Amino acid sequence: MIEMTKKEIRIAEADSDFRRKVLETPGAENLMLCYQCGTCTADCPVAMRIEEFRPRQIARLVAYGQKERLLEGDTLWLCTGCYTCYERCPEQVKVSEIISALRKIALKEGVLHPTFRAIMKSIAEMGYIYEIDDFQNEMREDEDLPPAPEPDVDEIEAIMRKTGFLDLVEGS
Amino acid sequence: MLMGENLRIGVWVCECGGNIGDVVDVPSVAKSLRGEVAYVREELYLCSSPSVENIKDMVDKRNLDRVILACCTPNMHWETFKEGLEEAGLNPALLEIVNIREQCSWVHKDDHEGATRKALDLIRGAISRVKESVSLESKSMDVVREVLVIGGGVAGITTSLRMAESGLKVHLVEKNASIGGHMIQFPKVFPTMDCSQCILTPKMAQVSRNRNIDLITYAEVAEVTGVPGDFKVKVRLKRRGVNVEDCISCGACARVCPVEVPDEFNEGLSTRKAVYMPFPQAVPSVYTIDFDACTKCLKCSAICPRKCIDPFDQGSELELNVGAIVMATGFELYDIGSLANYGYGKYPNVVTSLEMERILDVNGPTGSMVVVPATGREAKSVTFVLCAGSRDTEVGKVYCSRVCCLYALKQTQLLRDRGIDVWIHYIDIRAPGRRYEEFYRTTQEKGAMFVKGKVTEIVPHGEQVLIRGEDMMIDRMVEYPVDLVVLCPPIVTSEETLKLAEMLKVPVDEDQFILERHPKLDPMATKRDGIFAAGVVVGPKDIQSTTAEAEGAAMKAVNFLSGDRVIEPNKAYLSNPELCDACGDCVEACPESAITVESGKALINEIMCTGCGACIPACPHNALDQQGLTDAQLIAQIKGTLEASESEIKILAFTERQVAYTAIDLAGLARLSYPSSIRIIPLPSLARLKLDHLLTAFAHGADGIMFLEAPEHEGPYGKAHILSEERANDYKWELEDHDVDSVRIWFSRVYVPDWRKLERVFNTFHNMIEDEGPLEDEVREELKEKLG
Repeated sequence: MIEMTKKEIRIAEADSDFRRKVLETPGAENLMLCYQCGTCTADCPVAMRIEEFRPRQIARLVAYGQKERLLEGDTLWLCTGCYTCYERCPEQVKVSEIISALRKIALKEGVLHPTFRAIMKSIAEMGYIYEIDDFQNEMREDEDLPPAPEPDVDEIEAIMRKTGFLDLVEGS
Repeated sequence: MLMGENLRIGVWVCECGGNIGDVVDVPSVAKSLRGEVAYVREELYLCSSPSVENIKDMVDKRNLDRVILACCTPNMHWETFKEGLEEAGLNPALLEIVNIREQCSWVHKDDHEGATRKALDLIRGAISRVKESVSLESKSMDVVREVLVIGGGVAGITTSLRMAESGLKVHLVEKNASIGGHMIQFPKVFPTMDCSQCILTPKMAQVSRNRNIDLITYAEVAEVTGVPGDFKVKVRLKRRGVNVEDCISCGACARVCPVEVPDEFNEGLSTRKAVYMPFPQAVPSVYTIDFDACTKCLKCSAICPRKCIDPFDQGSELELNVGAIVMATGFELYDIGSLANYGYGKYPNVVTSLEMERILDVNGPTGSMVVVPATGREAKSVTFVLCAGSRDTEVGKVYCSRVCCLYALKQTQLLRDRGIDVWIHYIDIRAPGRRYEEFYRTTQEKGAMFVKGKVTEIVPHGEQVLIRGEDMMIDRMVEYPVDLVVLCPPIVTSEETLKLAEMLKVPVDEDQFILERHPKLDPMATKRDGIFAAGVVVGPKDIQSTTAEAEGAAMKAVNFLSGDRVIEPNKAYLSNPELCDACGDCVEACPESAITVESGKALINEIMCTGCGACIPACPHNALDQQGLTDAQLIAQIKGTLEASESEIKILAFTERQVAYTAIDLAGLARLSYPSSIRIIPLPSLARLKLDHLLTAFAHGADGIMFLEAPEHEGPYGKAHILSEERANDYKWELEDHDVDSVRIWFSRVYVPDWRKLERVFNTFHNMIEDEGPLEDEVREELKEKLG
């Protein structure tokens, strides 16, 4: 979690670089149009349950270039990517895209939440985010679905290796 | 003219279909009146054309010299009846309309007897009154078809051009050496980002070319006397030292002048010579000597090729005669030196928004380089402090200065275009107005950093300063170094303008801006006839609104001077001059400052008097009276209404004629129900009432008296509606001395939308008086004796 302390923000040179980096990410260009109306937070199903998760404040902290505060803790990883904020923002700020941009930056910095790491590993190892066993397939059968296809694990691993995805997962 | 009992009075009583006739026994009313007056007639619909023709006919045939029409509210058909009777040769002052519908039949529908008695009483009141009425004529006065415009900024320029266009002769007086005002200092204007000088300079040139405009610069208004329509104005031409007609603005004088002083056009950020032209596009395009700085070295007069410099110029005075005046004196910035936490004047990095305008101008003191002016150090980051003294009840001004958000956005855009980092600290961004929200958005798009929360402190930080404030959006303190800080102080009225307002007898509001005649419905008129105002002098506003007001003020002035001024015959006058001892009590009471004391007597200016009647009770010697509403008329109406009445409880409700009377009519329209004891007598303002009027009413049969006054600020006669309440309170206690319990007096303010409340008000007071019982006969007899 981001520590929501009342710690003062002191602006450093590096902060504006960080902001620029986020702004350059496709989808995050409208960050500076945010006038802090709070629609994103009010709409967010996560914010409804977790007090520390406030998309509005994430946008604000990016404007301040507060990289360290954003990358530490769970906050960045709580977004479910439901895109409600994206749909409803009156200024098309696209907070969900800003969060994606932040996750990408985090990943490049070697910051990856343990849950995400586990999920990514399980995709690399078995092609699914969790194991498909008989129980899963019986459930599928009840719904007239064919058994889950057997993934080509080697191919997936090759793609992941080639794109550098696996390095990111393993290397951090 | 015939008076009193020899008069031939005609009375018409209208049935209004069944609207009146179903409740009021009209035939019985008519029958009772026969014998009392020369002619009585019942009508089914009095307002129909045949009936109006019949009235005219009868006035002629029966030689009637007074007419009383008992029908619906005068708000309905007054004009129709008045015009009809004027055609029949009857003066409107000799016509009375008695409201027996809205204020009688409609509100007493379950009390036929009471309503009939009341209708008869009201008509008898009108008969008594009309016996005291005399013909009255309105007067007309020639107006001088010339206008004085004070202030040559964008408001003064626009209004002058528009009035000149319509053919009026305009005298435009400007205190500075050139017209142009503050607008000419701005490099760009929001939201269009027009070049300010490019759009204003042609208008300034038009002013100088227009034959109908007499441009008087470097001058000030010294004295204003006279009346609306005919003002006498003294203008003082300041010592200028240069003959305006002959100067060809070659600049030889300035080149040899050895004196350098701060240049006010550049907000003191650069210097100019003691002989100077404020800026290259100045109108008039002439040089001016600043005698406060001039050392009288005479180099300029020696070199001037036109020999048009007079170093010993003493200035001069000019007299103008104008019919109307437009105030367009603009504003100045609040002195932010008093906001110690922002360090203006202490840290070179802190500038005002007007200084920033000049810094951003290509012809400004820094050649449009964004630098810290005092040190010349280039600025890579700029912070705006909005509300620097606005919305502040502690040290600054309580109001919102309205333009700061927008000009800060404008300056921000200009700075962002040069790649400079910009921070804007705000409490609220207020951008209501056409294209303003879009302008705000464009500024956001250019990447400015908006921080909600006021800057609390600016402290030195090497060659920079440190900004401290809160970002309320994330509940955190913010602190960062910046090169340049722009303070956005409130715009305020200058001392000079306040003096001018006093000279013109035009009141200002609590924020020291000119008080409008009515803030919503007459915003460009001041409280004084013939004096109009436009632009920031009436409150902070942008250029768009300023020019709109300037156009409006021009229309007001043109209208005011378009024909002769009609002076209605409703004025207060000195009826007994020999009784006046010049005590000045009436002068104090007059809400319009229309009374002066001249050669030992009160002199009421007919043009300024609005006819509220407030001065009349103020006179300790009964020396004043009012046209069309004399004491004799009022007392006759009071007696006439009460004396022959057969009602058990009689209540007179003196009612303010416009607002309160309308509300009572609305109660009738809604068929509310209240006791028929209530008899309404309309007055312009209740400040017209004397104690004697109340004593007369009680002596002749009243059991209770109501004051139904307009709201303090919504009534048509300003202070008179406040004075009336003070008087009503005094009268209460004075009545106790005459053995009349103060419970018999009721004061209420009646708002138009509150008409529903009137039912309760009337019932409550009626019940109170019923509990109290009729006033004892002995008290009435004593009062009659006292009144003589």
